[in-house]
Amino acid sequence: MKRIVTGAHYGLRDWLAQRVTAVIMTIFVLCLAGTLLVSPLPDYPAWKSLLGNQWMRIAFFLFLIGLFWHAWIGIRNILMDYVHATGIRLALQIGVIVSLLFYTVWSAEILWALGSA
Amino acid sequence: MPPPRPDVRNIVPPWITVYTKPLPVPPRGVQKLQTNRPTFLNLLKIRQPLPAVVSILHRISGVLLFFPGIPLLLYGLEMTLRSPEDYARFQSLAGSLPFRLVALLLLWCFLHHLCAGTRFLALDLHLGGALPQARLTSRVVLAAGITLTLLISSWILQ
Repeated sequence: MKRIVTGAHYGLRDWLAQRVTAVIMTIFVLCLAGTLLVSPLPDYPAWKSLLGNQWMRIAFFLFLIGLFWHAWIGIRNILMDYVHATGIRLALQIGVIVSLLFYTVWSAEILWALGSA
Repeated sequence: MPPPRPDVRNIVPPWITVYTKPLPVPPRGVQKLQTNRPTFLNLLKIRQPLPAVVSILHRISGVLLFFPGIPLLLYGLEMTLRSPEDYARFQSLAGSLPFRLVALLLLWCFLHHLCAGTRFLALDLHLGGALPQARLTSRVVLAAGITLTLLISSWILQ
């Protein structure tokens, strides 16, 4: 049997990145959930000032970047497992990358359109 | 001189076929293995073990969180932050049944993905890999996802 050896050097790095982003996102979500437990369902000024805070804004942005990175690795693994036609898989992967880049720009726009609180 | 091997036909139960002679070798050039075994791939009828159910739900919930989860999250974030009017519009939208059903599904997706992911992290650290523990924790993860979804949604709606 002929074995195809691919230069998949990114495997371990992606495996680790997926787990590191998972842990960071979990910590962030637990902190946010704790904040919302103390003051549940804030009104508009409170909600805006919560995310207008410079540190919160950076933390939220980092959370979203981690989310997009995590999503890319996961979706790519799923596409590699289930979509065997190379052309279709490549097209889907490009679509995923483009949408995630778009989401990154959109997130920055949402968070920094707030102005400083 | 090694001891004589016992006849396997006396050890295995009678409903299992034992080949005492080697399987016939396919003629040269035929690459296929024996194909007289039945293939049974009806996914709806295969009863998967619980850890497999948790695993496939982790994948399905991940896909749903990617789409429509991420765009809906960003859309909601933008809407609630844009202006007080949009915030109020979001609040009235959040009262509708379709919104609540989608939100409930995505909340479960998130919580199941989180719980199952934590379990996979523990497995990566070689914690709970033995079969009884793996079965128990997959049961716990499934229950935790559903319970937390019900708790959080009822807490939001109170």
